[in-house]
Amino acid sequence: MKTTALNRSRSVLSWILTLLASALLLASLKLPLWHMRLEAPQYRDQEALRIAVYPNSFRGDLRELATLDQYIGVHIPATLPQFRWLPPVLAIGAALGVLALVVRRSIRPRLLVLLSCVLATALVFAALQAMGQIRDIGHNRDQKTILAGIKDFTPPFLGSTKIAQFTVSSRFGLGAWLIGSALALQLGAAWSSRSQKQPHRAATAKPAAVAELEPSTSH
Amino acid sequence: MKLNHLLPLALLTPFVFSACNSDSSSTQRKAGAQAASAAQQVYVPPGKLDDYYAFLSGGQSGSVFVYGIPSCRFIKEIPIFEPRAGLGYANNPGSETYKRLTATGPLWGDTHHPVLSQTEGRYDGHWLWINDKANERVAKVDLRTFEVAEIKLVPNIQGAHGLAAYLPSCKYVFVNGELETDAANNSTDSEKYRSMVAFLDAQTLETKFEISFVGNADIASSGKDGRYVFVTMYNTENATSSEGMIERDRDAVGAIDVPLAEKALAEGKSTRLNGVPVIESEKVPGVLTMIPVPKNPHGCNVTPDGKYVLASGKLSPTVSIIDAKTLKPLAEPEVGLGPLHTTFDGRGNAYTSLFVDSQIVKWNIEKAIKGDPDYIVDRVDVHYNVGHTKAAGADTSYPNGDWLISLNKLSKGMFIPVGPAMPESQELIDISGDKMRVVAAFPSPPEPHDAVMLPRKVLENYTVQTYETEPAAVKIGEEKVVHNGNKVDVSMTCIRSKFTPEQFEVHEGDEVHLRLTNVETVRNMTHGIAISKHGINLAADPGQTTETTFVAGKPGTYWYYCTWFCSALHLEMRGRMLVKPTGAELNEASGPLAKEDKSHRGSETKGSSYE
Repeated sequence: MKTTALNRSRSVLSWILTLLASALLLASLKLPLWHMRLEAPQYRDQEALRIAVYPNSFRGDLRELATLDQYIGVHIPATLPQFRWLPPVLAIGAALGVLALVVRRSIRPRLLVLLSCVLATALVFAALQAMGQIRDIGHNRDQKTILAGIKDFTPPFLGSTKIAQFTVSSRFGLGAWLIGSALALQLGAAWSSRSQKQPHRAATAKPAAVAELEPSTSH
Repeated sequence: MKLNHLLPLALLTPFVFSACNSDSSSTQRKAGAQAASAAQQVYVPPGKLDDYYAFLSGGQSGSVFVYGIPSCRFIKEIPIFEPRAGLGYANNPGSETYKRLTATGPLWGDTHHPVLSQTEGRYDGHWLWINDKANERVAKVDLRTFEVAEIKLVPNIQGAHGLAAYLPSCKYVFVNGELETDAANNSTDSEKYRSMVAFLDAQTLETKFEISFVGNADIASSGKDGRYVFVTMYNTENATSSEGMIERDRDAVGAIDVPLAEKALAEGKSTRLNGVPVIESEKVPGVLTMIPVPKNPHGCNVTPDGKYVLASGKLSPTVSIIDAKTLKPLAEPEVGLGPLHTTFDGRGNAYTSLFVDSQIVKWNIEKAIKGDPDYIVDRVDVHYNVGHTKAAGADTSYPNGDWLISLNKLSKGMFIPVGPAMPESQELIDISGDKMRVVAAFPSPPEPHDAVMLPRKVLENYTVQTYETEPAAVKIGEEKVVHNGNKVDVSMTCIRSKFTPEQFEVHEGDEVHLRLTNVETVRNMTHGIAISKHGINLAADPGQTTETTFVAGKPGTYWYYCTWFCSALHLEMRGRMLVKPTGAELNEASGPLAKEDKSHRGSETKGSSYE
């Protein structure tokens, strides 16, 4: 009787956590993953230049940066490979999370752990790819238009550094924090949906019944 | 005997000298301390902003000068009736600004009275109007951009002098015809001479109607309740010589009943002259009331509370106080020699400029009306021959009561010598206490007549720093050179550090229409384009499109270059107009246009897509 009650409440908890994780993943599609801020004497305070990387695009003061970049032979690409594959991965991750709620309870924890590991791997890969791209920006420069005296550089992936007249600072955006939280929530859901020895009929029936509501609640 | 007399004197001498010495050193110390505290009041450190904009009319410079107060720093000149090549204003005969200016008169003007728009008795910072006395024009400056939005000629008057906004609505600005002519100006018979006060639509500057009368109208001020506007009339004699103009002991302040004029207009009690309905004051009783004041008055100023209109005596040492509602003269207090203009602090005090005395006199209005002998509060010397004086917000219902500008006519000795043509001089006076204090003097080109001070905060979120892209703008990637017979349309963009196209070809004698858009999105990144041997110099601020038309000269290479130092590659920011002989084949795809690889160049403007 006691394990049944515990199982039921755990099941509800895992259900909530999983849905929340999927919601966060979906929300992150519309939010910046990463910010870069460039400050110089003539680009101060409100006028500091900003770039935000969203899952599918660059936004911010791109025109001004393109204008300035010509002096140091830098070329920021119009698009990144991640813009193509990252949004679907996040969306599928959200969908699979929801799907995990309707599979057999015994495999749910493993499925959730697997899912969050796959997502984490994809994100680490995206970040490594980004670090390479960032390095390229400061190293694969147009030699003809280089302003003398600017050595090759690597803008910071995280933290702050000085490049020419600019102090460049980078940090994760809200989207990245949401994805991180989503992964943690999925792991939490996996942990809480681990069942006690004898799974009760009632305990498994409940989430299945509620699961019918999923399409409307997750969107 | 003599010695006896001299002895005490000799004994006293050291004391006298030492007393003198200590006196002068304490005076010096005091002066030093005063200078230090004055310096502190006007010191605005680099990077900090002034509290006020001071708009000074540029007089015969045809412009408006903008200074920061209290620092007295020169900030900007707004060219209006005269070309300014540096700003690309009206200096290219093929440009719109040139055409607008020449359509209304010559390429110079004499600006007198800057007037700010008001809403509910306060400056709203939207518009500044200014008159060109010499050529009978009125201009409207848009304070979003500090550029001229409209210029119109005022028909049927000569010497467009006094200018004011009709309060409280600012529906009209009205301008006084100071110099008398017959209304149609086709007669030399001085018996037919009259003057007019013209009422202009404050937005379009179209003259809506005029009030015609015998005599003249000098300086203008509006009542606050929408009934009367006031003008001083120094030539009720309707004379043509200066002796004749001072003949009568009394001249007048004219009060025009605006609602009555509008009613007369609606009832058709007007005659059309050069397309403008003119109301002859004799035919509509009450439309113009002439209130007698001592001879040849000048300044005309309604008090902030709207209760009184004050006419400064000029040739009489008095200021006439008239009830602005009943039009009854109330008092004529003596203030000093040559009173020209009066301004207000909002605490019941008036400040009158004394041209002859070279002073500003502070006096209490209510005390003067009651006949209290102590109505004079303070006097301060100015350097020299003050004309207009204006306290911050004095034209509104809520004066600020802190600063006053004295606009002096003679600066001699005030600044380092620069030859016989000397700068004009203005002084800044602290009026926040009982005693006035002159704290700074600043020069200007000739010749500010009047000034108006606008708190910085009013414009803080109103004035733009880059232009919105207008529909006619050339967009990145859409630059082109189109030949059509002997006409060539060049659509060009510029951004650090390139003109696109960097070259274009035309035939000699072709009419070239150049349209240039500055596609920068950051503030302060102005570019210009000067074309060698073609007399062309345009300037475009970020987002702005500017254009001109000119005729291509003889065959050859003509470089164009950026005239505003913009970037590390500023000197390399140039291109070529290649002029070929008539009939020679032109390279249609002339010049490399926008580079495709600058993929972010066409991106949205700063901030718009960031969050």
